[in-house]
Amino acid sequence: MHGTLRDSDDFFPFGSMAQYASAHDLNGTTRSTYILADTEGGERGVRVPLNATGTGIGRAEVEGQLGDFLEDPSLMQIIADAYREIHPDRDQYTRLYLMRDVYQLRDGYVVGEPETTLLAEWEVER
Amino acid sequence: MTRQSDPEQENARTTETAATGSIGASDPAAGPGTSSSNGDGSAYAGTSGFGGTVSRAGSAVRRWWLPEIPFARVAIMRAVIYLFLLYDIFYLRNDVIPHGHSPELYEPLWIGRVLPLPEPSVGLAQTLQVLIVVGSLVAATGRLPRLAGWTVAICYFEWLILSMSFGKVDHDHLALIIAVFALPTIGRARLTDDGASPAAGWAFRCIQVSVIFTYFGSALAKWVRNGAPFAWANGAVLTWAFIRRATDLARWSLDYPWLLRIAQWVMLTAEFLSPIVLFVKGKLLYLGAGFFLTFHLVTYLTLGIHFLPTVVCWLAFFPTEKLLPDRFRRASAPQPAEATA
Repeated sequence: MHGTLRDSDDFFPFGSMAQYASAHDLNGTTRSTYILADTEGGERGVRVPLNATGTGIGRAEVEGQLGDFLEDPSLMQIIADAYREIHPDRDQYTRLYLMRDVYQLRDGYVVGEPETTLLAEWEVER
Repeated sequence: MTRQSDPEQENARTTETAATGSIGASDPAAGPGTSSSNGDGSAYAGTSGFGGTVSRAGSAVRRWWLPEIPFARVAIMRAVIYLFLLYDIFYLRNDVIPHGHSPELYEPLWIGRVLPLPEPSVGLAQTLQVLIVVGSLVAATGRLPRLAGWTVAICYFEWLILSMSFGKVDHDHLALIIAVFALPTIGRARLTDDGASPAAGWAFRCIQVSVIFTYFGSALAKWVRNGAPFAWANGAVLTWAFIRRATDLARWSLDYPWLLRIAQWVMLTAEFLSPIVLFVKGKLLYLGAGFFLTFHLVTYLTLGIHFLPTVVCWLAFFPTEKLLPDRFRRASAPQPAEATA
């Protein structure tokens, strides 16, 4: 209750029940953040699995800490390292691209193709 | 408020008393509790009108918070909740061990900053996993309800903290956490134990309230965040959600934003009205539960958001012991003294 009225997630488990609580403007934009990668095997721009079994870090968790990632792209190294530890046998990442798709809404309809932005990139260190 | 705290439950008992004579024995147990609290009320009522009103309200509150819940229902709830925890830690909140690989991204929540909780690591996560599995399997059978129950409660709570301290907090676990902390307080309750207890009633009410608060709280959050109680419903939140993660079953609806807005109005209204479920019985209760459970089914089919941890706690609203085969009821008949002890 306290967390909800203060609009903060901080007071887990009583924190704000604010999932999907923001109204979103019918003429605004909708964003979606994700990470692409080049791999040791030579693949370009593969989607990094931002979930529990892929890298252990979820997409919403990256979005939750997005400010930190923008300020310090080296945080992406942690994701590459986690992927290596969890899936040592898979094609590993050499370069990571933090991406964002922005969809324009008009009257609640999606208009046109999403606008894709490169937010940050990081050369993976071994 | 009526005299009986749970007439739906008691009516069922009285009709069964003649037939089996076992579970029906919980009726006398419920009787004295109710009448003694009424007795308090009338004693104060003699001194002053205001005091009488206050104490009548007090005993109504007490009756509401402490309904007699049969031990068999507790045993069923424990089995379901503790087995569900296993499913949860392996299939739903299964990011805790992987999170151990990225302790640098740990951003402790308030509770993690206030309490001296350990830093995330793979080893810590695996230890918690073992303790939760062993503790849950024991507690699910009804053995060591306090020792196993509290162990699971503490470890599972830490498990969730480690899951949710990396930039994203989910809100589907409130009722389950409350359930995990409430169930050990009941003490012994076996499937074959006869009788009922207000301690169980209190624990079940806690679970019920937290289930409902999950909805009501989210309506409040929408109000707080958007500045007016119903502003949220006129926005584009479903469009936003469907763009991000709609299943094939839902994508078509992006072409009908007005339909999504109606759905938003229905959802928000239901969330504001959800506390009614705490005070109704019989058909209305089933109707309310049916609505919210259908809502979860739809969000699962359209968005892949299941809210199972909340869904499973809805069980606290229903007299599940009535589904037990007769042999459990007969088995309890010879040992009424033990159950009340």
